[in-house]
Amino acid sequence: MRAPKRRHMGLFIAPSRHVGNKRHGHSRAPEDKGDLAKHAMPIPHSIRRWRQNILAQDLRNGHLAALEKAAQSADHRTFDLLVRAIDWSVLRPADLARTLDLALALDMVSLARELAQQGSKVFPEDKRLQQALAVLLPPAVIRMRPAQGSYLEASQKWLKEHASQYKGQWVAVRSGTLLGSAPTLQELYQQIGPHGKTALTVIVKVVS
Amino acid sequence: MTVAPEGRHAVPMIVDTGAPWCVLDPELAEAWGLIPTATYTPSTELNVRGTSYRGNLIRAAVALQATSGVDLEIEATFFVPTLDPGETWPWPNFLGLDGFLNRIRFAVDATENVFYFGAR
Repeated sequence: MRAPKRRHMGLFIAPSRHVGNKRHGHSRAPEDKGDLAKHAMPIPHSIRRWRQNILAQDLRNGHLAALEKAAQSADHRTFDLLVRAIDWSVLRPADLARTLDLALALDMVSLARELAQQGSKVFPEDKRLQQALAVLLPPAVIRMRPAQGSYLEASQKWLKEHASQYKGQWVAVRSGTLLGSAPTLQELYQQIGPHGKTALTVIVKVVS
Repeated sequence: MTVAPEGRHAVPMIVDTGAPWCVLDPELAEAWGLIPTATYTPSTELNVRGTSYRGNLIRAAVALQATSGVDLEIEATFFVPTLDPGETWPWPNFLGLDGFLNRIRFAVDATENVFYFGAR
């Protein structure tokens, strides 16, 4: 192996401000506390953008394709690992939204919620991610109110005993009394009228 | 369980701890006239009992009705499938785990078929 030319010459001059001590953010020796590398000229915005795009494109082609593949094969574990390995800040909001949708399709609701939270922080201007966050918020108890008790119990008892006679029909019951039955909900509404649609009425489609 | 939005008639819903979502019959969701506080339409189909459906996720308030004690009004997430013209919804309504049940306290007496619930 050839040694560096300067050793052959037996001479190496290292000036006090040798460029090497600021190269790549490292010092000449581990014990030196050199400055971090600074570029003499700022990198033009277009170049920086180009480099980001290349990186994002690599990720899109790599991670996102892998995510789609994991989702297609219902590989929950791989999908979860990939999602957590990605730096979303270098990708597009649409990429994150697509991943969130894949998580929903896999029934991974908690992960979808985490992605929505992350998305709203990384891309606060993105309307779709904000909508996802709003809809996926954990359920919240609003208030409690006294139960209507006996009305409901009587209707539940009636449905338990008689519903099987109305397979495929919509049925309305109040206080244990049948108000009507019809093949569609709209037809049932017409039968029972506006007074039949109060909170004391239980309406059910008897699934065959 | 029987569930109703404020001022609307009630419907029975099946408690399904294996279901990630609350699922509403689209005909019922429309007839109830729920006013969602948020809506999101996934680009993917969502799974309901092994079958995939397109649809909307909506955030709305409904009350769990009790036969004794107190009703509990909860703002939760529901999946409302979008059906093709002429298609009918073959499933009952479900109360799922992640979008609803895991934020309340509940217990089941399977022998008596009784569901106990309360706020956390």
